[in-house]
Amino acid sequence: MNLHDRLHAAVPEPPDLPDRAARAESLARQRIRHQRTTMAGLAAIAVVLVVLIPQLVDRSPDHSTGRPVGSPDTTPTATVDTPTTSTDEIECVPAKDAHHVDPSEGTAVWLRFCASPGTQTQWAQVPPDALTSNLGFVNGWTLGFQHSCPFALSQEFRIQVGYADGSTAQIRGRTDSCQAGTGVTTATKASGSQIYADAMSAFGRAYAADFDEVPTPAPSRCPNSLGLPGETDIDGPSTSLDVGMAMPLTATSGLLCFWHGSARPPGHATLGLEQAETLRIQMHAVPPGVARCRLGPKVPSFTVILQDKTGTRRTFSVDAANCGAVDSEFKNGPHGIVNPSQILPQPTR
Amino acid sequence: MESFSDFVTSRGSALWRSAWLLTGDTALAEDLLQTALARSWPHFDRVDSFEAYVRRTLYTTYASWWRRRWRHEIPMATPPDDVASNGHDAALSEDVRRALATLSPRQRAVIVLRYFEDRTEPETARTLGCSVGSVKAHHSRALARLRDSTLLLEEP
Repeated sequence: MNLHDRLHAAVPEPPDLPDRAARAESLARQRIRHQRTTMAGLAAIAVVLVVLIPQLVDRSPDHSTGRPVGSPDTTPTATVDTPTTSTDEIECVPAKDAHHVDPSEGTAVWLRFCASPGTQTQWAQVPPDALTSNLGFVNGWTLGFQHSCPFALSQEFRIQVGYADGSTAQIRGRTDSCQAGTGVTTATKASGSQIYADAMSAFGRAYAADFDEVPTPAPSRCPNSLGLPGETDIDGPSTSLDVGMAMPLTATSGLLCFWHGSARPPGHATLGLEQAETLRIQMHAVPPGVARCRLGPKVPSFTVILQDKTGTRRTFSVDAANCGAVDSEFKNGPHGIVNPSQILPQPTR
Repeated sequence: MESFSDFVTSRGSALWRSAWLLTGDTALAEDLLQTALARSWPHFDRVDSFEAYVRRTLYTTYASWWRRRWRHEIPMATPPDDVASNGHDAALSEDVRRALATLSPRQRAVIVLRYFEDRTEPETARTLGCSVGSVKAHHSRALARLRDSTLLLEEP
């Protein structure tokens, strides 16, 4: 019996669930209701645009550090244990045992993202490993007065930090501008998106340290279609790092493509180090999917091609479900987002 | 015209089987399928091939779930009741569960697409949203690992 036959023979009979469609439809409607009742726009995308557009306008960022926008200047180079040596040794503790209240106090000796307790919530993509050194950036996660925050359609994450005295702090947040919580009544001054970015950036640099640089040109071509982002992907040596993430290494360059009408070829803009890394982090906080927006002048859609130091390229497109929300943000959003088609270069043929 | 309910009635079982091979668990398989269906539902009348869309969503959802959920799957000495009681090859089913549990999520997805759904490498790449080269690499590593496990590849 070959593998094909074995797989087919092994699968049990599916349960007979006559209401499967109704349950899925109900769940879908529930998700849509949440979309309508909350601040329009996925915060992750909003953050991307808020961060990116001003930089494209002034075009004078310091691209020398590769550090995501907004990260502390003192963020050190972190190191990471490989999955085979660290993931079984440094595990998250039960939440009830994470008694360390203020993450900024004490000497952090390990940091890791923790598993989700359920499947109904959208969780951000995160590394499976533990950081075990150069965790000084955690000292920037000071406590602050907790403000109310509307429910947002961002992704959730949970981080635990272990300290030299054996205690553990837990930080739970969402990848948006709301504060991250450290307990029932405590929160950090920093937003969830900032904490997520700090940790993701440290992991990205740690993973990148294990690979040699492969000289390659920056990505210079947009995909032919918004729905075919995979055609611009390239597998470099970093593809061998199988950690369940779309792009685990720090981005070293990028290209932003956007469409604002199906008849036009995409416009594009070259991204600097900081912009590319910011987008790499934010795109791990966006639900996976390919943009299938109805193209139009009022709903620009985006594709971002990012590249790491080994030449691996990964392409992301804005998720279709958020197109209307992004449009609403352009018109009414509290962040003052402007339509990038007014700023970015004219479409290039 | 086929409705969403018709689609789920006709294709739900096939999708569930793929979900079971990905998760190795009946409850998780249903959970994964429900999530994929719910995410795809708004696009029911907007995409050319809704089944392909759901299938892709199934795999991308699986890939996005926390990797460690399956990392420490514990092979069981005896098949669980839900697997043993519905008339198929329970021992083989347990071998498959244990063998697939040794793979990374991406490798597992590639094996299911290539050998259970009989997808070509380009089709697998499109479903997983990666390059053909990446599919080849995961495929090669997965087969090597399955050979080591000796549970599934006793015969060519």
